[in-house]
Amino acid sequence: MEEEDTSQYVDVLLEEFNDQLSELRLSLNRLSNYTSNDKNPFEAFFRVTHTLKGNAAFMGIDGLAEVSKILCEVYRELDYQEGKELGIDRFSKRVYLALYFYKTAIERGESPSVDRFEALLTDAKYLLNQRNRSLS
Amino acid sequence: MAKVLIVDDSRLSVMALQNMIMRLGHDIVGTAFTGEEAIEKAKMLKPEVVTLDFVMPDIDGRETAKKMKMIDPRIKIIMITNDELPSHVKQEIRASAYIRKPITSAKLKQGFSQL
Repeated sequence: MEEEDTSQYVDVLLEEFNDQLSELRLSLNRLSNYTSNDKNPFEAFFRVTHTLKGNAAFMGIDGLAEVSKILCEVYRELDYQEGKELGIDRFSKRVYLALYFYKTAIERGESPSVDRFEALLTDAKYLLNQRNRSLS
Repeated sequence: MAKVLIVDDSRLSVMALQNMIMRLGHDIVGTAFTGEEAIEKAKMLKPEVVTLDFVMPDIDGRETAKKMKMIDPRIKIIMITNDELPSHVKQEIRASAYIRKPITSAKLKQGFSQL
């Protein structure tokens, strides 16, 4: 069966990436007014990284798909209160910036690298380990 | 040829699904980006088949599928997921086919063949 030519979707990927970053930015802006009655302020981070995982895999951007998979796991596993104690606010600002620079590199026609995510992934694994430790 | 409603919160996925499903010879009657929108469109457009993303911003694919079946038990669901769903969730959803992302034409063809 003939496979899809994904180059036709680059524009829509970038358009959607811009909207996703705006959504993350809004979510970060809301943190200062957060009260425990509000819904998880990082729900947007979960959905965006989840969608990015699928979109990047479809487009054959394997590095971004793999990074998104790990970030998505962090946001799926941690509720906001426990995440806050582990420093997820600062972590999420770094996630936003790393995704922003990645998207900008695609827009410039460069081959973006996931090197910028390396330290984040180490921290993501730390967060997940800490969470698992607190459960056991 | 089936009447298909495409439901996914990603514009990229919707566009790719539209192209692939049209090439399979089916008729796309509508698209929706949230669970609520999907339920409204299912009532209005009466699709025979719904391709349904599992994670969405309002109600998830599990709830959306259940509500669709209440609207019309004959609706066939092709559930599209990023991750393997646990068997108890699959039993609850009662979809006709499950497709793991990334979506490909071959996977989609296989999904439609299971209806």
